[in-house]
Order: sequence, then structure tokens, then C-alpha cells
Amino acid sequence: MTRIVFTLVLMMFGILPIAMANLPIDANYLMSKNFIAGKISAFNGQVIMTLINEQGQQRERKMKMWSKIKSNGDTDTEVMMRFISPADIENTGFLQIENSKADDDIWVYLPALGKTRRMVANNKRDSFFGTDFSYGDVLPPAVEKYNHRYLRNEKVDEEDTYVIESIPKDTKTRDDSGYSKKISWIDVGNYMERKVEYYDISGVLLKTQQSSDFLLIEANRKRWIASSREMVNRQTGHKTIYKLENVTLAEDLKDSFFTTQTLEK
Amino acid sequence: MSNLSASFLIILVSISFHVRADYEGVDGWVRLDFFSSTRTLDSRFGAGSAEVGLKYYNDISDDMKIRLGGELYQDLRDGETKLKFDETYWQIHSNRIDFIRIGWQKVSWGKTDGLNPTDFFTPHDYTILQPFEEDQRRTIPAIRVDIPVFDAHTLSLVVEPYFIAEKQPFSRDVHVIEQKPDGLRHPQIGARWLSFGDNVDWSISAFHGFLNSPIYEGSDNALYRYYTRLNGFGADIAKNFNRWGFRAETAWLQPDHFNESSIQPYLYSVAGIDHGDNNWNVNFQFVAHYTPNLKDNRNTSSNPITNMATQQNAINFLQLNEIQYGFTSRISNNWLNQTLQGEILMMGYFNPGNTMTRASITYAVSDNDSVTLGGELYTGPNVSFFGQMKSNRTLFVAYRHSL
Repeated sequence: MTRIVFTLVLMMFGILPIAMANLPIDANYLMSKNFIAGKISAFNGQVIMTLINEQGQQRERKMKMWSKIKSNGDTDTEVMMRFISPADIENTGFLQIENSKADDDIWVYLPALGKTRRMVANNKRDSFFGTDFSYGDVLPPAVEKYNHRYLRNEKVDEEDTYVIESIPKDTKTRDDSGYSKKISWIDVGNYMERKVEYYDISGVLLKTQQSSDFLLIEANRKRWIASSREMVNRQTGHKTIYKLENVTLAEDLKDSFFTTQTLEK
Repeated sequence: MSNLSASFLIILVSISFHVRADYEGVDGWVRLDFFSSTRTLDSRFGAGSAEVGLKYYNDISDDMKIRLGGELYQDLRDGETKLKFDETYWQIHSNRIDFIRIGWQKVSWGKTDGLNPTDFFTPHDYTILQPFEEDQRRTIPAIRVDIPVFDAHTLSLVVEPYFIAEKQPFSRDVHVIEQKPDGLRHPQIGARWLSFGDNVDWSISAFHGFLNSPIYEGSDNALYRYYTRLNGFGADIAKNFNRWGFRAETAWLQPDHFNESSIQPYLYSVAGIDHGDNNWNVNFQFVAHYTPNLKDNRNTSSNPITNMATQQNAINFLQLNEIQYGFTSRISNNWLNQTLQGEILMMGYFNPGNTMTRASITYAVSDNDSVTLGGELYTGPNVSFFGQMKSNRTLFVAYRHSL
């Protein structure tokens, strides 16, 4: 009897891994994990964006950044940015409040006029203050708006990743984002995007993003942030290097901070 | 600069030098402009200006900051030099109030583009050579308190104890006597209730003070320019519908006293749409100016100066007809990662038809240097808002360097 039980256990440890290895990989599950992996409760930091054109000329944008998940129990995020330099956009403010069940609310504060303007949220394909990131790249898109398909495993920077193709489910999502397809390389360990390819409405490769220097900001919830990103526009040759510095968990940030009044302070 | 302003400036400077700041810095800029025409309703060719601006900022703590800003502006044609306060204020905030701001500041109300009926406080300087809205808007000395009332609602209270008049181009061979109100004895006050969020922003506002724009009154041998007391009530809204933004704003302005030669109470409304796509932005607005029971008193006096005054008031305050309709339209685009920006703005009124068109293109040579080329054209009969400015049509070039 003991021999039979022992044999069965040995078989289980032999067969199970083989069986599990052959289970189909759930792309929706992986993209949901990716969506959550970057959802830090609240943090602030300083962002430096370096814009480099094809001729190698550089411009720099510095800004302070605050981000928080709304207290409504969902994963909706509030983001505020305030430009520090260059001088012609200094003190310009940007506020985005994500609404998973509706369009996001976006405002821009223009210090030269002393006014806050509400922006049309569906212009997510537009460039974020002249960089190669679009407004839609500021916050990750909702997982359920795309059809996801696992393609393969691959190494990026010597790390294992899942390669996932995401196609918008409807023309509104496609037109709002400006992307007909995204291919994401999702880190097997932390579920963060190490690389992303963005394809324009015509299906031609538009941009590629490479991320690195991941920081574990909330260890108990396994939430990460990429402190370095490089976005390259493959059609114009222009690129933007994004660096996040002095990142601090900000548990005392309140929803009341993310208001148009704060933009105008 | 008044004694009060000078004293306030000295206090701010003293605090800045004696208090250790969390964060402080200085910015500045130099700007040179050339215009083919002046803004004094004449046909003189060639005008230039030079401007130097400095801003000092001092974040004393998370709850307190000081800003010191000023501009030295010289009209190169006449040699006239002006010192203007930019934002120069002391600001504190706490858990119970968003902020209290005391000093020279921008108080900009209204959500529509360019024309804002509810912008009761902001005077404009239309005699300055630079044509853009941010150049023409002036800061005011005020105390502003913003108080969060409940979730996503704010009450903003403003008191302005020193009156700043709007400056409009005016060229006549008549002696003008200006009468400005005493702001300390009659401070201007305003209140605004704002709501934002959930795809719609709106506000309602009330104002008691003086009209920034001058009213003319004639006597036997002189033209008087004065600023009437009035009460104003306004509302505005901004809401998105999918890819389109809708903006509307309206205000009722009731002068305290009005007679045959001054302006009469009126309703001023602007409503329009905004749409952007792939770096293009298009904005179109409809304007309506309604003066109920308008009495047309132009050219009814035997005194030509009185007739001149009533005509100028009717033109400036769009009271040539009981209802005057108009429009604004703006098309803009940017290229090369927003280093190159172009815009065409057109504003106009009907009955009679008169327009202003401004086209401009700006190139950011670097993060510190930019060049702007542009032009302005005015059309319409002389007895109309834009038509009277036909001699101000101009081509311009501006260079700006940030220090």
C-alpha cells in the first residue's frame, strides 16, 4: 500500500508540471496583472524628459509629478504634473482623473492666462507637450477594451517576457488612442512592460518604448514603477527619454489635492 | 507706483530675504518686437518695443509662497518706458482654505475662448504693441480667497482695492479728461461658485464694482472718460461630448446710473465648440450682445463732442443695434514635436459686418529662444468695433529669449 501511494506521488510530481506547462497562457490574465502591477497607491517624484530629434538636438522638460489611486475602491488613477522648466512652460499644470466607466477628465493650467482649461479627453493620440508620449500613454488603457493574444516568450535585456498582442475591440478605442495594435513584452517576474511596439491606424509601426530600472515602490502589494523609459517614433526618428527621480511613496496624499484649484495655486 | 504698492513690495522683498525658503529661484526674459503699424489709430509706419521681465519665486514652505515679478517695457518709437507688475503676491494655504493670495495677480474668470463676459476683474491693455491675449491681460492688486465648500465645489472671493482701467486705442484731436474711481473708497468685490469634474465644469458669479472699459461723455469743450459702477451676474459651463468640447458663458451687466450718452444694461453671451485631432485644434464660437429697449442717442445733440462720445460708446459697447451678433474662430496646429506652432484667429460682428483677422507662426529655435511672425487685418466701416481700427493693421516679428 505504501509502495502504491509513493508511486502515485512520484507520478503526480512528474505529470503535473508537464500538464501545467501545456496549459494555454491566458493573455487577458497577463494584461490584467500588467495593469495592476503599476497601480501604486500614491507617490510623487520628479520627471525629466529629454527630447532628441534626428539631428541629435536636445530639449529638456522637467516636471514634478503626483499620482494616486482614487479612494472610490476602483483602480482609477489621478495624476497631476507641474512643469519646472523650460521657462516658456514653467508652472504649466496638467491634471488627469481616470474614469474607467466614462471618459477621463483632463485639464491644463495655462499660467500666462491664469486659467484652467478642460481638454477633450478623446484626444489621447495627441502628443503630450511635444514629447513622443501621447496623452493616452500617461495612464495605461483599460484591459477590457482590447482583444489580447499571447504570441510567445522572449528575452528582453536578458529577462524572460511574455509577448502579448493587443488589438482594440472597437473603432472608438482605436481612433481615440491612435493605435491599431500594440505588442507588449511583459516581464514574467513583475508583470511590467519591458518593451512595447505601437502601430498606427494604418497598421504601420509608429513607436517603440523600452522601459528599465524598475523600482518596487509598494513591496506588500507588489507594485512597481519604471524609472526609465525611452520612446522612439519610428516614422520621424524623434525620441524622448523619460527619467523618474526622487520617487517617494506618498500615503498622505488626498483626493482633494487632485483638483483644478491645486492647479491654480 | 502708488505708496501702497511700494510698501507692499518692500514687505514682500524683506520677507523673501529674511526667511529661509524650501525652494527659490529667478527667471527672466528679453523680448524684441517690430510692428509695421502702431496701435494709436494713425497710419504711422514702423514701431518697435523692447521688454525685460524678471520673476522671483520663493516657496517658503508647503503652505506659504512669495512671487515677485515685473516687466520693464519700452516703446522704441516714443521712448516711453513703463514698469508693470507681473504676479507679485504672498500666498498661504491650509486644510480649511485652498489659498489666500494677496498682491498683484491674475483673476481670470470664464471658460470660453478669447471673449469672456464673466471676466469682470481683468483689464486689458489694447494699446500695447504685442497682440496676444497673454500680453494684453493685466494683473490686478487684489485679495483672493478660495474656499473648498464640499466635494469638487469651491467658493472664490475677490476684493480689489485699487482700480486698474482698461486701455483702448483712441485718437482724437480733442482734449480728454479722465476720471478714475477711488478703489480704496470703493473697492470692487466679486464672488464665484465653481464646480468641476464628471465631464462638466460650471460656475456662477456675481460682481460689484466698476466697468474696466471707459465710457465717454461730452461737454462744451472737453471729452470726459470715466468708468461707471455696475453690478454683474454671470455663469459659464464647459462640457465634453465625445470628441467635441462645448463651452458657453453669459453675463448680465447693469450700470448703476446710465443716461442718454452712457451705456445701457446688456446681456453678453458667448457659446461654441472646440475640437482637436492629431495636433489640429478648431474652435468656433457664436457671440450675442443684447441691449433691451436700446435708445439710439447718437447724433441727437447739437454738441459735436457729445455726439462723438455717444457714437464711441455705442461702438465700443456693441450698442449700435439692440442685438449685435458676432463670432470667433480659431484654427491652430503644431508640427515638429510642437516646436513649430501656427494659428489663425478671426473675430467679427454682423450688422454692420466688421472683422479682425490675426495669423501667426512661432518657431522654438531652442528651449530658450523663439521667433514669431504674424499679421493683423481689420475690416468694416469706420463706425464699427473693428472697422475703426483699420489703420492698426500690421505685420509683426518678435524674438524672445528666456534667461
